[in-house]
Amino acid sequence: MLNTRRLSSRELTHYYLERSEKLQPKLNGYISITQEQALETAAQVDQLCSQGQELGTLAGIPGAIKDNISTQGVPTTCASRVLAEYIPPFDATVVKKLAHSPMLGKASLDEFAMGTGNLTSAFGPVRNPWDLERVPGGSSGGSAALVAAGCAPFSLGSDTGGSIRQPASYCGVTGLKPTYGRVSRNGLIAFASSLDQIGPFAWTIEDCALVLQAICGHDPGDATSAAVDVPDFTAYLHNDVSGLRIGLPQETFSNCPHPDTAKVVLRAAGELEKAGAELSWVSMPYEKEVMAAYILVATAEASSNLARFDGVNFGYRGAGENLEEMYTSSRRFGNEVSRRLVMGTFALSQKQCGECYELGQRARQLVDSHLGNIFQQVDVLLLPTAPSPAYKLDEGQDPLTAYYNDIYTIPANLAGLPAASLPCGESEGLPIGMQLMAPKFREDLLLRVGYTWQCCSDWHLRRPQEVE
Amino acid sequence: MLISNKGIEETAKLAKLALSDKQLNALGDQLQEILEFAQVLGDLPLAHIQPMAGVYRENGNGTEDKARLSQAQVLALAPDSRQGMIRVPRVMDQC
Repeated sequence: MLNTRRLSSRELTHYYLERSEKLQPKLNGYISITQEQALETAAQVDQLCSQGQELGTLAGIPGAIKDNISTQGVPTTCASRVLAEYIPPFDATVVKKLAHSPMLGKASLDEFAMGTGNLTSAFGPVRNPWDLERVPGGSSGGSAALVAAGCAPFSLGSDTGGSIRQPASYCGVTGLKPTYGRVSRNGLIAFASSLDQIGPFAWTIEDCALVLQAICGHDPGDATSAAVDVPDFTAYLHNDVSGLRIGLPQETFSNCPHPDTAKVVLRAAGELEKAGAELSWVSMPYEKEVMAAYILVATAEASSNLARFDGVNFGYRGAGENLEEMYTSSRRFGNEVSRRLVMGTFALSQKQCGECYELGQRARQLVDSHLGNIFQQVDVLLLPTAPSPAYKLDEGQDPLTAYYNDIYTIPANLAGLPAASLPCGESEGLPIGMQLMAPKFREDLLLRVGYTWQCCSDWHLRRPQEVE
Repeated sequence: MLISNKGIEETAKLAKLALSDKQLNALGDQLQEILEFAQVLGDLPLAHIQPMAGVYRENGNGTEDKARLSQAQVLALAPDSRQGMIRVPRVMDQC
């Protein structure tokens, strides 16, 4: 409609801004809404289009950006008191790549992307549009909720242990974590540098493919950015899984604590089999070990990354008679971040546990090798995204239980694999997502299976009534 | 006991975190539980497995070492600055 000028970017952006403002009190999905900037970008795009300029596919399509992704001149808080007033002097690479997409606002998240429910933001929790008394998932809860509620046609999130896929599952939208290195991390405020990846949320896998196309690509400004060609992702959007080998992890389905989740995801697998895919059981036995490896590796890296927030160069500075006092008074993180930083510092400290981090790294290698072996037998893995649907805001999960919400998503981060969550059913009105995992740089397989699934199902077309 | 209260205090100090007694006590129980859980890794055959630091890193060539922000931009971010320098409380206790 934008291309045929039946609708201008300004009109479209105005619509989403209005809806965002209307639902913000209910959802608290944004940390900041950037109305003026969004309309300015929209007006610029309309002008350029009217002059006949060819712009990218997403030009004029507004979106929301997770608030741990740097945006020049716009506060980037990481949902933390430590960065409440921080205004980056530069745009993240992904933001530059989306320069013609009006930015509706900065989406809320768990503080410093650490969490599984978007409960730890210093600016209040986000609510799930399907049930306002439940979490949207985390840490990209804001990004997921905004798309689910129709406040943004797409959003960007980041995924370190499942922080795109799990909230996508909880909110009944599609979310995709690319292969590690596909998307530049330049400008993403780091949580765990060897695990973090930026990726899209949208209603459909097709829209995710369009956003992925826009944000991918080698970036010399990110030393971990992969120098691999970016294919035309839309070319893989075929309704065809004939002969594709889909693996179902036996232990995951057997041990899934929520019976509906396992049932619904297996039913979806059955539909893909009817569509021509070949299903087989595979073994992925390392559930607890995967979690333990992740805890050691991610918290250790977080401890190192968050050391920069010391009140010296930027961010909040607390009072102090001397430097030491200034450091400790400046580092006013919430409980979850503090817990992970102590855990991570412990894992790295020679006196306390000299081998902890290395143990986590060895376990990580084991997981990577095991998954590599599995992908000799199958093309794609299919499993639940999360052990259960969204939990209640006041459930008060203890830390280990909360970490378990990511049990099925973590392996893809440890091995750097691409993975996506797509809506595939529901339980008592709450969405359930199925996760697809593929070998490195095989986003094409995710797109092919995901597209086929969304051609033969309609879960991605359902909308939450709570926010109608 | 995989981590003592003293160990937590020392670790928090290393992490430059000022935690209240209440927070330290709560952390003690939580970290104990997490560390006990992490002991499952001891049952894995990891002795001959190389640690995996990351998925991969490209050829190791660094980026050119040049400033990407101006001094003015950097100072604009600093909580306290004077005469082109970032100002912090005294480093040494006695001068």
